Amino acid sequence: MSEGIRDKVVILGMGCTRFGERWDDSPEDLAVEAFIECLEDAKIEKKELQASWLGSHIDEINIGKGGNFLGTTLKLPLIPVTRVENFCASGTEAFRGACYGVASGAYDIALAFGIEKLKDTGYGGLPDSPAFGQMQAAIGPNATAPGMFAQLATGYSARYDIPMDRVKEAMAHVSWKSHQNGVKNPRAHLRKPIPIEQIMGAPMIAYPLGLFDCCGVSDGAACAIVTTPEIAKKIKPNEDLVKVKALQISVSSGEEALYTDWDGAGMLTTRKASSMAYEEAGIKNPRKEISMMEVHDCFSITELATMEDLHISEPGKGPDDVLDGFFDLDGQIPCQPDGGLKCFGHPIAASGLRMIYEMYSQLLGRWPEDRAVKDPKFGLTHNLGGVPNQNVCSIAILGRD
Amino acid sequence: MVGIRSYGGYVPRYRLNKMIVFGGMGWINPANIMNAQGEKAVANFDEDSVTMATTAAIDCVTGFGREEIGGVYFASTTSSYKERLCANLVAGALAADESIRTADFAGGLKAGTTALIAALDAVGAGSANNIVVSAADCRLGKMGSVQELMFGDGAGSMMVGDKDVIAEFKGSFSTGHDFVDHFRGSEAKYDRQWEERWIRDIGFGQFVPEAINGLCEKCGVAPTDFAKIIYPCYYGGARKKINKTLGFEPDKVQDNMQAIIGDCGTAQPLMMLAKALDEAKPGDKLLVVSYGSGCDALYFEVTDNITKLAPRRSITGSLAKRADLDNYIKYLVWRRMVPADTGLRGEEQKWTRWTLQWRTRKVILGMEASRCTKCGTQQFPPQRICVNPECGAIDEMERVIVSDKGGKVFSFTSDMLAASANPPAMYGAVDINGGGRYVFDFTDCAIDDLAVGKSVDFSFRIKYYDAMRDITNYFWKAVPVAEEAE
Amino acid sequence: MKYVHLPLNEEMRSIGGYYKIFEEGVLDYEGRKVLYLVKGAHVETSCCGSGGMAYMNVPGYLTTWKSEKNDGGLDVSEVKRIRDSATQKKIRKVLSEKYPYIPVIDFD
Repeated sequence: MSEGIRDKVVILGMGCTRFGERWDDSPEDLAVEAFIECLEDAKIEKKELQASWLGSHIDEINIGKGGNFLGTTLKLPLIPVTRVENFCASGTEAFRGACYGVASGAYDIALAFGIEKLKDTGYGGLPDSPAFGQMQAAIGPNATAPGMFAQLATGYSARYDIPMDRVKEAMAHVSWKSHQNGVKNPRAHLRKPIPIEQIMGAPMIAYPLGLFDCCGVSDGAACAIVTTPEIAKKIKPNEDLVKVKALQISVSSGEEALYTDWDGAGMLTTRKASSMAYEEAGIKNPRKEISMMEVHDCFSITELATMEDLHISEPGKGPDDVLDGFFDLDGQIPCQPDGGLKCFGHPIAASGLRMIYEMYSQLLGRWPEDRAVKDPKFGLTHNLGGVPNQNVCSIAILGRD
Repeated sequence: MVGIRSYGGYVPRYRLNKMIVFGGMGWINPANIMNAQGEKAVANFDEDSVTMATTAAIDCVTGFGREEIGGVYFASTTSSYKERLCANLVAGALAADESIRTADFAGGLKAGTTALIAALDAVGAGSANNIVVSAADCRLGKMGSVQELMFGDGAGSMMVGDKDVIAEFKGSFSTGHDFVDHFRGSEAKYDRQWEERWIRDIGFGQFVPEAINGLCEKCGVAPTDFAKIIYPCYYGGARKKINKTLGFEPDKVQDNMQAIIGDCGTAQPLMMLAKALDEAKPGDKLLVVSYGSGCDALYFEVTDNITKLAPRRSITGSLAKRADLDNYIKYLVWRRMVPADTGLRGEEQKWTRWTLQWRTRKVILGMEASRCTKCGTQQFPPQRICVNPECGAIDEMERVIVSDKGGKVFSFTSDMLAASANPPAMYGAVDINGGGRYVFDFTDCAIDDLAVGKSVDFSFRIKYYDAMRDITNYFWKAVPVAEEAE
Repeated sequence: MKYVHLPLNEEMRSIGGYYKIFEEGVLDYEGRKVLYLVKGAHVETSCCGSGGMAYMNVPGYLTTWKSEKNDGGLDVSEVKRIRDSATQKKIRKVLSEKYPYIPVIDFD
C-alpha cells in the first residue's frame, strides 16, 4: 500500500532570483544567482548534492534540451540531471522528482531547479510552438491563452448564474490584492500598487478578461535542496524545518476537451489533485486548516475558480469570499502573499518553485511583518499548466512541524 | 610628428586562376581573354569586407596594446550592412575600448584614403590618437564581365598616431567630383560601368595626374622626388601613359598586383602602401593616390622607426599563403551570385537573439575568456563558476582576451554531413594557449593540414548568414598555422 | 454606480502591457448625457502574444458630474449603466460616426 510523501522530505534550502526583464543576465547568471542563495541557505557544500531535477518548458530559446545546462553551468560533480517538463507545472514537477528521489531512499540530498530565460525572444510573448501536438496545430483554433481562459469565466458565470459584473468585480479584486502584495516584494518584477478603478477601466483582451487579468513574460530561476528529516536535523539541529506534506499531480483525461459533461466552470484536475493532496497531508477541513496559498494566477479567473476547485470556497461562492477579503493578506487564508504571477510574471518552469519558495519562507518566518503571514501551519501551492480543457495541475502542501 | 605608426594587410588565401573563369564564361565575352592573365584573390565563403578588415587591423596593431587604440575607421563599398556600423564590429574584434570614435567610410573607392586623411587630421588636431583605419572590399562583377576578372578581395590597415611614427604625414591634396565611371544603386548587387576608353582616358588619365600635380604643388615637391608612387589603376595602358606623363621611372611605381590579387577597391591604395612599407627604407618619400569619385593624394616620408617596427604578416606575408580555388562555381555560390539548393534543413530558422549578441558582445566579437584568480584556470567562454573540478570558485574571475593567443588542436573531424558552403566541414576541440578548451570550426585548410597537437591561430570570420533576414554574424574560427611559420 | 475619473494620457501599466485614456467625453443623446472614454492599449509583455487595440468604453449615463472625490483624490461621478441593447446599438452608431477609427465600443 503506498504511503504518500508526507513527512518524508524536508526542504533544506531554497533560492529565488529577482524575476523581471533581466536584459543583462544570461540563463547562466540566473542559475548561479538562485544556486548561491540556495546552497548558503542549505548549509551544505555543492559536492554533497547527489542528484538534480531541472525544469524548463521553452525549448526554442532558453537553455536548450536535456539536463546538461545545469551540470555545465553549476559545475555539478557529474551527478544525474533529469530535465522535466510539464507545461507551466514544470517547476513543481522538478520539485517532485527531487522529493521522490530522496523519499525513495535512492538519494540523500537532491536539487530541484526551475529556470526560464525568455527575454531573448526578441518580441513580446512566448515563441510559437505546437505545444499540443501536430494535429491540434493542423486543425485546432487559432487560440490564445487568454481566449481559452476567458471561456472559463463565461462558463463559471453561466454555471452558477452569477452576473458577469460580479465575476468581473471579483476578478478585479483578485488582481488588486496581488498587486498590493507585490509592492512589498523586492524579488517581484512589477511592484506598483494598482488602484481598483485602473483595473476596472482596462481594455478587454479576450472578453471578459482585461489587461490586468493576464500575466506577463519574465526571466527568473528558483531552486530547492531537499533531504530526509534525519539528515536535515543533523545539519540544522536548532532550526525549524519545513516538511513536504503532500505532492499530487493530475492531468486531464480528455473529458473536458471531448466529452459533454464538464461544467466549464473550473478544473477537474485541480479538484482531484487537491483532494488527494489533503488526504496525503492528513488535512480534513482545508478551509480551516490551510494557512496560506500560492496559486496559478495566470489569469484572475483561474485564481477565482481555483478557490472553489481547491475545496476552500463553496461552489459558486468564490466571488463572495474574494470580495469579503477572505484571501487578502490580512484575511483568513492569504492567497499570493508574494504578489503571484501578476507581480512576478511567468518564467514558466521557475514559477512552481517560486511558489514553494514563498511558502517555505513564510513557514520559517523569514519575511518582515508587512508581508508576513501570521503563524502559518500549512502552505499550499497550486501550479497549473495548459488550458482549462487540457491541463496539468500540480499541488504541493508544505508544513512546519 | 603625425603619421603612420603601424600598418597591416591581408589577402585571402584562395586564388582563382582567371583562365578558369574565362573557361566558364569566355563563350559570352571572348574579348575577356585580354583580362584573363594571372589570378585573383578570392575571399573564402566565411569572409567578407568586415572579416578581412578585421584581420588586417589585427595585423596592424601587432606589437601594440589594444587599450591604446583611440579610434576605428572602417572603409568599404561592399559592407555587409547598409546600416549597422561595421567599424564597431572591427573595434569589437580588436577588443578596443568602447569609448572611442568609430566610423564607417563608404560611397566611393577613395573611401580608404579619405578615412586615412580623416584619421591624420584628427590626430593632427589632437582630438584623437592611435586611430586604426582599415579598408576592405569584396567587389562583385557579373559573370562574364570584365569586372569579374579585374576585381580581387583584400584589406589594408594603417594606425595613425603621433608617437614613434614610421611614416610622417607631410600633406595631402583631395579632389571630389561626380565623375560616374561606374556606380551601384542602393538596391543593386552589381556595379554598372561606362565605356572603358572613357574611364581610362578621362578618368584615370586625367584625375590621377591632377591629384599628383595638385599635391606636389601644395607641398612643394616634384613627382620624381618620390621613392614609390602608389596609385590604383587596373588598365595597363593607362598606367603606362600616366607614368610617362609624370616622368616616373618604372621601378618607382608600386606594382598594383593586378595579376596576383586583382583590384581591391577602397583597400587597394592601403594594400599597395602596406606592400611598399614592407620594403621601404628610412628617408623614402611615398606618394599614395586613390581614385574613385575623386582622388586623395597623400605624401609620407618614412622614418628610422620603421626599422624598429615588429614584423607582421602584411601583404608580403599574405601573398605567401595561398591555395588554388579550382572551382569557379564555388566562387559564384559563395558570393551568392547563383542559387544553390541547401535542402529543407537549410531553410530552418537561424534566429539571431540581439539581446544575447549585445550581452555577450565581448565574448563573441572580442573572444574574451575568464581566468580564475583562485586557481589560475583560463576558461572560454567566461564562466561564473570555475570549471576546474578542484576549484569551483564562484565569481572569482578576471577577464582576458584570447583571440591572439592561438591554440593547439585537441581533436578534429572532417564532416561530410554537416552543412557547409565549402565542404567538408572541419571542426574540433582546440586547447587555447594559456588554458581553456572549446570546439571551433576550422577554416582555410585541407583535412591534411589538421593533426592533434597542430598549432592554430584564431581568425575572425562570418559565423552564419541568415538569408531570410539578411543578417551576417561573426565569430572566431581556427586556422592551422603553416609549417614554415611555426 | 460610481465612476472614478482616471488621469488622461498616463500609462496604466500591468505586467502584460499598458493602456492610456486619450479622451474623456460626454455625448448628448436623447436629452441625457452619456459618458464615454477613448482609450488605447498595448499588450507588449504578455505570455500570450503581442498586440493592442484602439477602443472606447461607455460607463453609462451621467447622473452626477464629479460630485465627490475618492481616497486617492480623484474625481468621482455617478453613472447609470446602459443595459438596453437597442440603446447600445444606437449610441454605438453615433460614437462610431464621431470616431471612425476606433473599431471597438464597449458598454460597461
